Amino acid sequence: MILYLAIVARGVFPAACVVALLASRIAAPRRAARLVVCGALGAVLAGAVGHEAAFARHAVSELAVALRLAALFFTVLALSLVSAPLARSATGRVVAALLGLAVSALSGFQAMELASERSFTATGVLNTEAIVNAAGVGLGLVVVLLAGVALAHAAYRVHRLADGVLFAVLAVLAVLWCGELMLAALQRDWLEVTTLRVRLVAWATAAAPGVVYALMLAGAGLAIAAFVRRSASAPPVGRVSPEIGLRLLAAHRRGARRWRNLGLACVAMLAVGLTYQDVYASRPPTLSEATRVAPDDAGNIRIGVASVADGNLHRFDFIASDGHRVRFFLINRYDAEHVRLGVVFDTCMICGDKGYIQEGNEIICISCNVHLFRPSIGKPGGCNPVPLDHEVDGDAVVIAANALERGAKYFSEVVEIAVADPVSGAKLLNTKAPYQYEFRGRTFFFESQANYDAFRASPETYAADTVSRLWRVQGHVAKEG
Amino acid sequence: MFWRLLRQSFLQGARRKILSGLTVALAATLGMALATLSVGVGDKMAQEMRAYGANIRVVPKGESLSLAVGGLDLNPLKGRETLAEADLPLIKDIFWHNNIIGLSPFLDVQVSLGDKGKARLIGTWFQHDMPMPDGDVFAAGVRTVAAHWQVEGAWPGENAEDQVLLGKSLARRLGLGIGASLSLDAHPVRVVGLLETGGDEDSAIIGPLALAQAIANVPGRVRAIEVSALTVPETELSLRARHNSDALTTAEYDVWYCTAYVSTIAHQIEEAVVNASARPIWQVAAGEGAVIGKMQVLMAVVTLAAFLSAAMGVSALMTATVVERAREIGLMKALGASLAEINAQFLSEAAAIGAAGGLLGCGFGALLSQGISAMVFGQSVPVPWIAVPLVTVAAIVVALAGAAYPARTIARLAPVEVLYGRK
Repeated sequence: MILYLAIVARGVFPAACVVALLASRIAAPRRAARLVVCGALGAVLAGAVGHEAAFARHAVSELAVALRLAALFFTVLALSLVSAPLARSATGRVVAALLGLAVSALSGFQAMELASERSFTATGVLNTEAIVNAAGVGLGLVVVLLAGVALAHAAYRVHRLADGVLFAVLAVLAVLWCGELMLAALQRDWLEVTTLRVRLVAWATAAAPGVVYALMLAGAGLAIAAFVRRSASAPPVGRVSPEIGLRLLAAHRRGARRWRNLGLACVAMLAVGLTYQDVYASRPPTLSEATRVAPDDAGNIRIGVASVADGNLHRFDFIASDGHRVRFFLINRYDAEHVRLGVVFDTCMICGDKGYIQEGNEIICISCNVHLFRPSIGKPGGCNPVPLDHEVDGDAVVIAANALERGAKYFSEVVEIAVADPVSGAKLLNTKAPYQYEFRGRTFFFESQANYDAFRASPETYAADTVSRLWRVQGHVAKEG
Repeated sequence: MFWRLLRQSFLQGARRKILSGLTVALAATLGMALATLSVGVGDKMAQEMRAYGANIRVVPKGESLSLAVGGLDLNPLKGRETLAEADLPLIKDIFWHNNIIGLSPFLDVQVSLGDKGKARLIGTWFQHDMPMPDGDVFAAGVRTVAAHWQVEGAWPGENAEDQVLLGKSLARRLGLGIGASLSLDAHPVRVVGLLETGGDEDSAIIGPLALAQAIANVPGRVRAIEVSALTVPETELSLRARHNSDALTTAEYDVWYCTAYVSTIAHQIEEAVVNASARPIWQVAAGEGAVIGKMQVLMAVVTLAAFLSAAMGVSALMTATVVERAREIGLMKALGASLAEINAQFLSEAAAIGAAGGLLGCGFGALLSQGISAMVFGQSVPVPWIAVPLVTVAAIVVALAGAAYPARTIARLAPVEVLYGRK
């Protein structure tokens, strides 16, 4: 439910802001305001329907580009509204209305885009999940709508400030649209890929999730500012007695306070839902603590069978010679009477090194949510963890440090350790080394350009005994070869 | 003041309020009864789709063609085509082979029981060590695939060709029990256990696959294979893939193929086994779900009509109230009440009526659904809690919609007219 509330908040709230501020800008009387609200709602729906239609025809990205272009085009036109008396003219209203419609349609489209990765309901028959999710969407739409109306009321009171906010909101949104358009152009080869362009796209993409929070902050600020201003200036009273004047003033204040409270409550509700979703609910599961192991003098790691035979996942980690943190785990595949251990790297050939977690009695791949068939752990294939070479010696499992070294390339996490320059033997930190070179999959670190060049010229001279590391695609070969 | 006016209104016009509340309650009763039936089945279906395991039925391609006309299956290939028993290990050799936790072949054949008439013999593996291409052995058999089968007595031993299970209802019909001897087309067998599944196995004999093959004279062939797999719950992507996997983009296809959806595993089984068609078995979806799914639109239309007439009832009663309280409204206007404040008065009255009627309807509807269920399905259904807020909210919305028109007429009342009594 909160997921869908958050999706509506993220997708539609920016459009509600723009429409509310525009509506107050063109100083619409009550009837026009109603029209604006209806139009915006219709456009949101049209955008959502458009997304589904485009989805069926594989034309989602084309429609996305078209909508963003339209929004951008009308934004450029509408910027002239902010300062000119054009705002009150018919042309100004048409431009403002078109901008509102474009932004609303885009927002409906984006909300559907966000929702399309989720499953709304597992079946077409009415069920609890579908009702709860639909309630989330409905609640989200109602709250966004109320927030928009409250914002429009606030913007009437402080129109100068509202103009500024509108200008800022449109500018920020335009930057985001530009980023998305540039990404689309780069993907379609309409633009040549350059570092600067990729960087701009990356910035815009990284900033996008935060923009809606900034808009909420701006909306709340506007609501408070409008109340403060309202309290300061008396309502227009005609020729009435001072007593009646006071009562009118009190009534107006009460009204203003109600609008402020409504606006703040709506924005707060959206913000809470969105924050909960972003910070808490979408958090990935975390791996259990790993026991750090180091090889003995013979270059082996020995783990007592009895200590890992209880049926739970026992995670260990090992730091490879170049600082890669290699995780592996041991698990009893059968029951306490039949101890047969699965000894595997904590990584999958398909899903990468996200790892596996234990939930109750199930072993689950974090990346793809596959539940593993426990007796098959240790066999290659599917989403099973990559097997790790080992031997069982009496009551201990013996894993060669070299076997773990070979698997170091499966893992991306690197910890800071002291390494030796293979040429000069000088000690340095792997993360701070000025030069590095990869040989047989292992990274070597150098203190100077000269050492680096010397090593590159003939790596075998300095590192002949390096074990070649395996690439991820070789994961299932590990067992045989 | 707001609350005092509201209370007064309910005290004075109680009869009319009760009447409109009952109108709403009637519609809500219907809505609640239908929602209870629908949500109960929908939840069961959703649970099935979200489970981390599923069974897949593999049949020959010709078998899966649907040629049903008027309820009769006219497929000429029905029961003729078979799969090779030798292909079974191929199923454990697909990309997601580690997720396949059990499989068992089936071959059914009509057998004569001598003077006791005819019966259906289902040949299968009870517990069979299947050699794998990589030299391993996989413990296949019906005991993992059909975990819900309840056997009284013992399961037949694997290599004992003369031991069978007897379905409970067939046993009752024949008057036989554990230890009885039977002759299936002149093959003597001994009943070692009685089977209860709730399905059509209850009226069949379950025997070793080799026996069924010998009787049907199709050595090395099977009619169907059931596969039990660990899967990932269905998502939007897998539903689309199930519909048509060719319509996916390359990236989507890769994600789908590399995720253990039941549709992926079925697809890979079809790739591995020649001439096979693999389909997930959705028990609820294929049974009650299909019935409710078809009725759902009809139910929605009926409920909508009921709520619509309730809204009209509320509207009529509310109009009468507005006319009756015209002088009061005029006075409020004259004293400076804003239109919004007067509207709020009437709309909150309607909302309260809607809420009360809705809750009342929920209670009646829950009872009604129990009655319907007892009559139609012969069992009680659990009342889903979610239906209560759903129906109540719907009732409030209906009451508000009904009050919207009378509330608009308030705006047209001029204080001077209603207070003075004439134009």
